[in-house]
Amino acid sequence: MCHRSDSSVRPVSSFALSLIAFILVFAYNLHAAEILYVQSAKAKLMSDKNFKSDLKETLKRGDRLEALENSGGWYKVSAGTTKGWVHRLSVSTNPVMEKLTLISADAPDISRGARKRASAITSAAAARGLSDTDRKRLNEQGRADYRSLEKLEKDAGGISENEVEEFAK
Amino acid sequence: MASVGGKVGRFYIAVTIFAAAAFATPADSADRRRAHQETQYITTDDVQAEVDFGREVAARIIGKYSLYENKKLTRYLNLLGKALAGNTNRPELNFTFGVLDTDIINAFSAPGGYIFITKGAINSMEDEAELAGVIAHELIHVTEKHIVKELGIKGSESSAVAGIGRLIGGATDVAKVAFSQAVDKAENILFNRGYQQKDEIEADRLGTLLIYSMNYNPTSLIGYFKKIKGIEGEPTGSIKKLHPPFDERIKSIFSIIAEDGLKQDGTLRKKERFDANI
Repeated sequence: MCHRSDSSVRPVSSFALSLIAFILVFAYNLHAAEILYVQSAKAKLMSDKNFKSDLKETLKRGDRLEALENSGGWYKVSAGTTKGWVHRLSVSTNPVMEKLTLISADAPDISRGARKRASAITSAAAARGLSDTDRKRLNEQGRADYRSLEKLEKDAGGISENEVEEFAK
Repeated sequence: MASVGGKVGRFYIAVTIFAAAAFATPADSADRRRAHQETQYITTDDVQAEVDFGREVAARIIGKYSLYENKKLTRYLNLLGKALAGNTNRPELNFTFGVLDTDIINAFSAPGGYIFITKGAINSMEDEAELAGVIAHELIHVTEKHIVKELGIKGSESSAVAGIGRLIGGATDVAKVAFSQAVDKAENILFNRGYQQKDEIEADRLGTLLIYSMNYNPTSLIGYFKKIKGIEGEPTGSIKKLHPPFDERIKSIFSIIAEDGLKQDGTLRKKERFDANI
């Protein structure tokens, strides 16, 4: 009795389970559309996947987009009520991150001792990579030049975003 | 009988799930997979590891060639480079640009945002658009993480990705050796083996789009390649050895200009500003 009951119920259960699975997976995929964030200062939302099509809107850094389609390096996206195409060069799945730097605010002046300077500058990543001894050895062998790199970083870091914006006009 | 029914049921369910996934997916699956690979989620730890790693590689690039000490030129290069970088998808990086004191014609990039161009390369250029083209090419190597992906540099200890990722978070001797070996590998890629050919082509294509986003002439790299292609001997020895043939690169750039509809009318070359700064 029990055995017969099992065999009559199983096909119905399979169908019901399949239906539930279909609904769940369908719903999940519909809602799992990829979310993209504009990373570049500005990004062109074009009407088609090329730059000769009409410009629909200029997006700005941090704008949240829903990816609808991907083709040839272009994403078809929904930006609020507007749909269009944006190039992958300008977007990523990450929310916009703060700028990272190795140089801490209290890093000593560049004119002080090389070992002390290198130690402070790499303090944020002290546990990673090469030690001061490793770096000193590479410096002495002429295989690496941390002092010049630090100077370059300081010069490059001294340029403000306003100066860059002015240059780009 | 019960066993057969169970197998059929499970098969039925599996097919249904597959069908649901296929029907509900807005883009085709190959595109979605590629899109996912292109835009994989990264953590702050990943970026920090990339910068730490790239800084070591950058110190080796300067160790090999030395920096060209010219404040005006270095500032100009950094203004141009940072302006271009602002149009990429890596705003979290502090990009640093330097000129190398050598007459060879080449440019180099290290993960984390370190970009170098040789004095010889700059001296063989006509205008700012050409300089922008070469810098944009190197920027793409960084933004697309060509070395980072090849060597598996990641900061997350929970990462299941093979490579040195979990090792560099520690301070053990094993971790330091792995880190040092990875830096050696990156150095070898830059100076001996070269990037993978597909990465070079991608850097040309996306670099062209990048300069176009700042309204520079999209044929700038083509003009530059045609010019240095004819220079024989040591100045172009390494660039020819480490990159695909110029004809192939030029063809690829022409194709993206056509595919993406890049216009030349009204675009910039900025020769006067270039001449005033070099």
